[in-house]
Amino acid sequence: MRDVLKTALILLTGEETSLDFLNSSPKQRPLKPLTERELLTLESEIGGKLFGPVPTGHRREFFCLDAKTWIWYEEWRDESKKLQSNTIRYEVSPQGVLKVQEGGRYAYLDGEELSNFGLSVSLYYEQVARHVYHRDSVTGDKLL
Amino acid sequence: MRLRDKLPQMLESYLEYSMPPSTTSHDTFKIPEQSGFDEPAPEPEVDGSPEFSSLGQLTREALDAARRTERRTGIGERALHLVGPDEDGVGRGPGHPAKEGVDHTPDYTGIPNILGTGYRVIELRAKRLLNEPQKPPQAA
Repeated sequence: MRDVLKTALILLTGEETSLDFLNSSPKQRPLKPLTERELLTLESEIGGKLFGPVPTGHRREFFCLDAKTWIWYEEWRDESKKLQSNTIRYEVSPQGVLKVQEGGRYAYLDGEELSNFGLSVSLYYEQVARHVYHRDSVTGDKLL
Repeated sequence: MRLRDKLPQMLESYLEYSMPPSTTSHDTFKIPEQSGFDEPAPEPEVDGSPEFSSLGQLTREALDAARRTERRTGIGERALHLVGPDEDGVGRGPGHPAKEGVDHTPDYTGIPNILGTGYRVIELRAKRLLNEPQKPPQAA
């Protein structure tokens, strides 16, 4: 297999090419640079799973857009197979958490909903720190 | 004309404008006593707000009342009291609309934690974007 690959590379590049890079394990390769959007996608995949299993045919995302904005997005197909979606923006300020929905609906979170939101945010941080950034959520140190 | 030559004229103009108004010509700029500027501003009529049929469809009156309240309190929390139950009567739906007899005072518990967590997430993301070099493992 190695010889075949080497021959193919020679045919492609026209010169002898070292295959030493194949000996290095994936962990020794440098981290692949990711864009902020890609990081957000990775985070939202974890965020969407925080609230239990997503129903079949649904797509759910929950992510931290910026330090003061959190987004909940869910889409599904209704009985007539028409795509439906629901986006909720949570704006965090010292005065409270403002929940903004489509159609100009807005309200400050309170009571149980506020507690649940706070818990979700904490869980999100813990999971994202561990699984996306490979860091301890308490100390911030790199996980080995 | 050089600036040095202009100075006396400029000084004279300045003195003329900075003198206290002793002539009657300035009286035309005096605010009339019956202008109403000295009267206290009328109290906002928040309690007299109309009822609204559905959540999110704030009428102009409601928005005006919310703005007046916002100006007075700094936050728009009283605006929530202007929102009636939803059309289907569910009332706890999107946005958890206000209901009669329910205390809708915002719960500030945990807000600093939520804010802090947001900043910590952004910090993690920024570090990753900068692709900071991994620290060598510390000796045990």
